[in-house]
Order: sequence, then structure tokens, then C-alpha cells
Amino acid sequence: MISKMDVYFSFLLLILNLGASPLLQAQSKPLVLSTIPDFAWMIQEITGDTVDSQSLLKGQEDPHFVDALPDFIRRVADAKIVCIVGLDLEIGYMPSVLSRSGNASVQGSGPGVCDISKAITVLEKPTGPIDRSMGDVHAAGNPHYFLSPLKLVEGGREVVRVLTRNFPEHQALYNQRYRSFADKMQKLHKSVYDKLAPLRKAQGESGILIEYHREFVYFLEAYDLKSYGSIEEKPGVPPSAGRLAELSKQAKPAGVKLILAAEYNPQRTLKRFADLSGLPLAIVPTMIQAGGGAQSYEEHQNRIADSMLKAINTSP
Amino acid sequence: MALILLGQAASAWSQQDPSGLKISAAVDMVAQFKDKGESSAKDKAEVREAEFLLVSPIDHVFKGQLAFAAHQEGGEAVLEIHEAYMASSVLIPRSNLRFGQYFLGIGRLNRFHRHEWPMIETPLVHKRFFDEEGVLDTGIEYSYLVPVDLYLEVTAGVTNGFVYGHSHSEGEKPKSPTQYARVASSIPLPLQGYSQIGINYLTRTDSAGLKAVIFGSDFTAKWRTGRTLDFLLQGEVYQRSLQFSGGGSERNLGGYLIPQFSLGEVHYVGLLFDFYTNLDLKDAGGQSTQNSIVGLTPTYTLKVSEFSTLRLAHQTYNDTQEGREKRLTSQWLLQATYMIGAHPAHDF
Repeated sequence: MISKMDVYFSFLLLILNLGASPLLQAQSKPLVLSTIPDFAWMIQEITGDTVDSQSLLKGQEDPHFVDALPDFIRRVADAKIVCIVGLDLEIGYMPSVLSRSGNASVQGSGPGVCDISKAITVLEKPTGPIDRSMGDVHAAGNPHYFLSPLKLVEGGREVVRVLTRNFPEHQALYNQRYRSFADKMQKLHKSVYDKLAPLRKAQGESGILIEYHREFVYFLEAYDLKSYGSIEEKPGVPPSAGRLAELSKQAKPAGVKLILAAEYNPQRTLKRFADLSGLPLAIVPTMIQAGGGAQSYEEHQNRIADSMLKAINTSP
Repeated sequence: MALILLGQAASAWSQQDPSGLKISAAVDMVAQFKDKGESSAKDKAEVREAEFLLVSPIDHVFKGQLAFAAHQEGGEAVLEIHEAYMASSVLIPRSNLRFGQYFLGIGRLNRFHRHEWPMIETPLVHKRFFDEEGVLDTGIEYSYLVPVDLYLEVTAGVTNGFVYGHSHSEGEKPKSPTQYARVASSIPLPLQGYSQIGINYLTRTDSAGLKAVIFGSDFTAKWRTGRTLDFLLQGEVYQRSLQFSGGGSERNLGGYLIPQFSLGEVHYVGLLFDFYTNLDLKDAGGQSTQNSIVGLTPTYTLKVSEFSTLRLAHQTYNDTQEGREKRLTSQWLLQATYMIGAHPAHDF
């Protein structure tokens, strides 16, 4: 029979044996983790080959509803810096992940804490009192700023600040690469802005499109496009059949030309609304994705724009 | 009700508070109605538990958690401290440390508050080995994240052991305190699923010399699309060995498994399979006797948000023992739970 001491000894042995592996990893590049792949891409652009930039999410997930996966805890424990979207987007899982990681650098006021929203001019910040009867309202403002290249430029400043604090020896390199990154984003913005000219031309007073959830606010602002509103009556709350029926009658007469939705929005509801309203659907990724999705931010932005144009061209 | 009002007022206040204090209240209401056999159902609805939770950083190193709960105990509402502990996730690298009173960090259900469980009634194996709500005690617990290329967390703890499970008495000094350990790992699953598995060990020798050793495993797998938990598979299996002070021993084995499917964004159906047996049961002639209790509980869940849950279940237990007539009991169960205030982030 296994004795108590045998069990304790086994645990101790396991910890001592495996504890040696960080020494083996000491020669590798420092790990900078982001919650979303878009930030991982941006950080790699800014840092070059000085750090290993990775993300926790793969890009297909709904960033509002993510489980605190044990694997996230392991990776955060190894990270030098952890960058988050902030504005409570990750509030359902990151506090638990950070705490379970036991990594003091990325918690509280640690040097590896990187909340990119600190550098962002936030849209849709509620001004009056809010409570849960209004749905999943983000009290600090709309967190989907990573869909605008101009907001990435704003957020990049916070990234550079945190990177410089941790790796002062690379300060000049990060500043120089950040300027190149900002230029690249400005050029991307101009190119996609030009591409979306047909949508602006077709846009009426009430807006060119209707969203499922208000996650394209920053994207639309960047390209001077207007949204008629969201299919959700309250954020994070599935729309009722009555809401779908009512809104579907209003949208087209108001000049709406397409429905814009994320891949993780409920497809059955979207299909139903498309059928009722007679509007074409543009279902797009909201993040860079590993695998078959966009591998760079430029490709990602162009894919969204192309999907919208394709939808409007099929509009009756 | 006073707890709820206090929670609402405190929550509003905490939004202005710079200390980081988060306050929440969770209410768990259950109705039980007899169906067949000698069910222990109370044939009434009641507030089973109202829990009031305060979590806050204490300083730059420690955070504090305090949970009060009011229960129905013998027809009376009893208010008691569930958890009152200090914890640190920054004191020792890759480690979490907590000391005070808490639910022991072993198994699956024992690590979560009851209103977060995916079933209404406590599975039999938990009732018999860990008590109705789980084992809570005062002591110290240490968790270490082993630095390897997979998630591997080792937890070990020791608590007073004066009492075991859920007790309102002071208990007596045990011959050996409650000692426990858990090794947990995780495995990614196909179709973007994810699982966590734990191996658990607990031992205690009470003041009368009764030694209990529990060894077992827990498993949780989830597949999620957006807000919808498409499929949940959760189970635990344990064996307990009892060694009596006057000689003799007994071994019991039990477990449960609950698959739960999504029927849409807010509708879920699950089936709790529950099993328990005494491996050393003897008849009057000293011969080994086959015996088992098997439970089946189909459950419908309406979960319109992470803050409210409504459940309807039909629970059946089939108690069989060699040489004795089969006993079948069943009951209907209804549950409503809700949370108000700033509930902390969930673990996997």
C-alpha cells in the first residue's frame, strides 16, 4: 500500500526534477503574450526578432466568452509581458488566469502588465448609470478598437512604453520600428478607405449596414461608415423573434444595404434576419486567425472590406 | 433577503471604492417533490443557500476572500462562514498560497461553490465522501505550476481535521489532520475542445482512530462556441478506504458522470449518472454481498446569462443488494439560482 510519505516524496521529486527546465529555456527569447492575435502580430512588428510574441486566443473565438483554459495559465506563467485589450473584454477569464499563473510580473502593478486600452481614445463610454438589465454593457467603453488600424497605432504607444520598461537596451529599435509600423498602418488605412468608397457613396443618413453586435464601431469610424444599429436589442442578449421581425421591416426602407456580423455570432439568427429583411450578409472574422484565416493585419482588414463589397454587390 | 439587499447596497458602494473590493451574492432555491418510493424529498420549495462573497486585494501581496452562507438546517436558517482566507499569487513564483478557512482544492465539485455546479443535487459519492457541499476546513494550501511544456499543477494542503465535511460543531482533535494533494493537467481535444484531469488524494485519522484514505480522479471537458457551452462532460470517481481503530476495514467506490448538451443559446439538457457501492459488504454469514446504488437524473437547464439558471430534473435511485428487495426512489427537482454584484472570474 502506498504510504503518505511515498506520495509526498513523489511530489517533491517531481517538482525538483521538472524545476530545472526554466534553466534550459533561459537562452530562448523572452515571451510576450497577448490575449488576441492582432496584438501578437503588432508586437512582433514592433519588436522584430527581440522577443517571441504569441497570443492566447487563436482568432476564431468570441472574445467576450472565453474559458480560463489551464494552458493559458501555463503560458502566462512563462511570460515576461502580458498585453490585454482591456475595457473589461477579458474580465471573464484573465483575472483568474493571471492569478493562477503565480507570475508577479504580469499582475497588479508589475512591470509586465500591458493594458493597451490605456492609450486608446475610447468610443461609446456610457455616461449614465448602468446595470445588468441593460445587457453586457462595457462600463469603460466599447473594447473592439483592435478592428481599426488607426487605433492600433494609438495602442502601439502603450506597447512601446511597456517594452521599453522591460527591455531598455532595445529602446531605439522599438521606437524606430514603431514609426515604421505606424506608417504601415496609415498606408493600410488609406488603401482600405479608398477601397470602401462605393459603400460611402451608397450610404444614406441612417447608415449603410446593420451589425449583429456593436463590435465594428471602430472599424466603421475609421472608414467614415455608419451603422444603423445592432440586431441585438441589448448587448450580449440574443434578440427576440419580435425584435427580428420589427427590425427586418425597418432596415431596408431606412437605406441599410447589408448585415455585418462576426463569424462567432449566432448563424441561425443571422440567416433568419437575412431572410426576413432581404439584406445580404457579410460574415467576417474579427481577429487575425491561425490556419486558414488572415495571417497579417493588412490581409485581415482587406478581407473585411472585400466581404462587405461583395455583399453590397449582391444586394438586390 | 437582508443579505441580498446588503449585497446590492454594498455593490453600488464598491463601484466607488478604490480598494478593489468586489461584492456579490448568490442565491440557490430548490424545490423537491416525491415521485416514487421512500424519497427524502421535502415536498416543498425553499431557499437552500444564500451566499454573500467579498473579494479584495488586501495589499500588494495578499488578497482576501470572505464568504458567508445562510442555509436551511432543520427548518432554521443558519448563517455561517464558508470561506475566510488570505491568498497570494505573487509571493512565490509559479505558486498560489492560501491560508484560512476554505473549500479544499481537490476534485472538481469541491473547488466550486454549489450554485456553480452543473447539477441540482450533490452526487452520492460526494455526499458520502465529502459531504453535501464539500469539505471545508481551516489550514494552509500550496499550489505549484510545474515549469514544463504542458499544464501541470501540484496542490498540497493540510487542515485542522477537527471536523470533516460540513459541520457546525467544534469537533475533536484528530489523531492525524486532514492532508490532501491534487495533481492536475490538461489536454486539448478535437473541434476546439479542452479538458482538465486531476488525480486526488486525501487522508485523515479522526479522534476515535478511524482512518480514511480517499483516492480518485476528476475529469472535465468543454466545447464552446461563443457564449454557448455546446457540450460539457464532467465526472469524478473515488475509492475510500476506512480503517477502524478496533481493526477491520471497509472500501467504498463511487463516481458520477454528467454529459450536458446545448439545445441552443440558452437551453441545455444533461444526464447525471451516479454510482456508489460498498466493496466489502458482507452478509450475516460473512460472505461478500453485491450491492450498488445507481442514480439517473435527466436535467433541463435554462441559462439566459451567466448570472441566472433555472433547472428541472427528475432523479431516480435504484438501490440493489444481494438477498434484499430492490429499492427504487424518485423525485422531481426544481432549481433557481442567481448572482448579483461583481462575481469574480471563473476557473476552467
